[in-house]
Amino acid sequence: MGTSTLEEVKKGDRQYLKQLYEKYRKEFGQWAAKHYGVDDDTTAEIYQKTFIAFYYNIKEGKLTQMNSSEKTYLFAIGKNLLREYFRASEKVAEPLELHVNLEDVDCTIFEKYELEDKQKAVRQMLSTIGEPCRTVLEMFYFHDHNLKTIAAAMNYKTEQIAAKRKFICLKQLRSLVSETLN
Amino acid sequence: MAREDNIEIQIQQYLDGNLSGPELSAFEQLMQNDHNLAAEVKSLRQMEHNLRGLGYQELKSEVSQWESDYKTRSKKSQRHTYLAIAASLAIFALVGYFAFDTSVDTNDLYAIYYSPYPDMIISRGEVTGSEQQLTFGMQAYNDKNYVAASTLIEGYLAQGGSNKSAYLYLAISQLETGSFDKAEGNFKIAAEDPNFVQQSDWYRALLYLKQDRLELARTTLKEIAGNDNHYKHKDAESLLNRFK
Repeated sequence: MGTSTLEEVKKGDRQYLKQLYEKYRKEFGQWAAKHYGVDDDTTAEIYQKTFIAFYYNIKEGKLTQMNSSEKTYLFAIGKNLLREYFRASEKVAEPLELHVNLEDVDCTIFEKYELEDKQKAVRQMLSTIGEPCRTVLEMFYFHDHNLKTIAAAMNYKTEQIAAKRKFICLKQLRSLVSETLN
Repeated sequence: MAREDNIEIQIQQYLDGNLSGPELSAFEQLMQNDHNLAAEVKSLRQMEHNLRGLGYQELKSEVSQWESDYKTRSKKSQRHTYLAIAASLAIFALVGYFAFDTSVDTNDLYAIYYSPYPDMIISRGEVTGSEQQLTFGMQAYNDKNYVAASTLIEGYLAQGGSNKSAYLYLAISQLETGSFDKAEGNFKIAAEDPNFVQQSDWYRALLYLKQDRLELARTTLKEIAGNDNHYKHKDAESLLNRFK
């Protein structure tokens, strides 16, 4: 996988991600059906999880460079998740060799970010916090845009101003959530 | 105030991962000594985690939408493929209909209207000689072994068998085995007997239909349809109505 792909994925551009999602969707379905005999619904579920894990592995810097193609990496995650699926359902799946070190792949993202009650309050308050906080926080925490990009998008003169604004907004959101929960 | 501002900046930098080396160590030491500061950082970290969690939820829902879009498009594409195939088949069928109209139609009609004439020969006890051949021939006919039936009934007639109905069953057997010319001749002979003329005419009409000799088939069927006493006049009428 080239640096450009890593950079593009990291930018979090939804249009690009959607294209990437669709690029391997069909092939993944055929591969999963052939090697693991899973049905369409299971394939869809596993592929979605695979893609999310793929994205987060890049976004969170667990993958900074790869010698394999994006496809190989994506399918390696899929293989891990399929194994997990079969372990959970006590079925036996035929193993398939993929030339990717599976230790590189982190599939714990799902437990990490599962919805908690507090998150629901955060979501609620994020919708009431107003601008520019909402956009700044979403750009930084949802889409992983860096401060330089945020500064440019929000017309802040420097990254430092963007960083300060983000920090103020974070604290403001915390206050709103505390008020709601208490 | 300046110290507070400085702490705020440090918290911000720490959260963004912008502290390193001695600055980072100093800040971590500060947190160890100041529980309020540690609690503040922890609380903000938790808020960041929650925001990232929401980002994850949002992506999850978007990916789910992408999957749904993919499925919709796949179904549409599949439907388009089916439609394209169906359209091609329809065009092919239409072309085929006009190009091979009569052969398709006549074969279908033949299959609808044809059934072998039932065995009406009454056995008169134990038979010998040529009569036995006719009996065996009719057994083969009833068993739909028309090749054997043809041979045996021909043998019976060759030996001077006098039962005129044998020509009818022979002709039908020959119709079944594709010996159309022989069949036609034998239908005509059978038709010389008033008891079998109607059956012979009907099967001859079907023979013409099968052979695509449509004018002959139409003429014969019209004669049958025009005879209210003909046992097949209604079938002939109906067949003529469906005739191209």
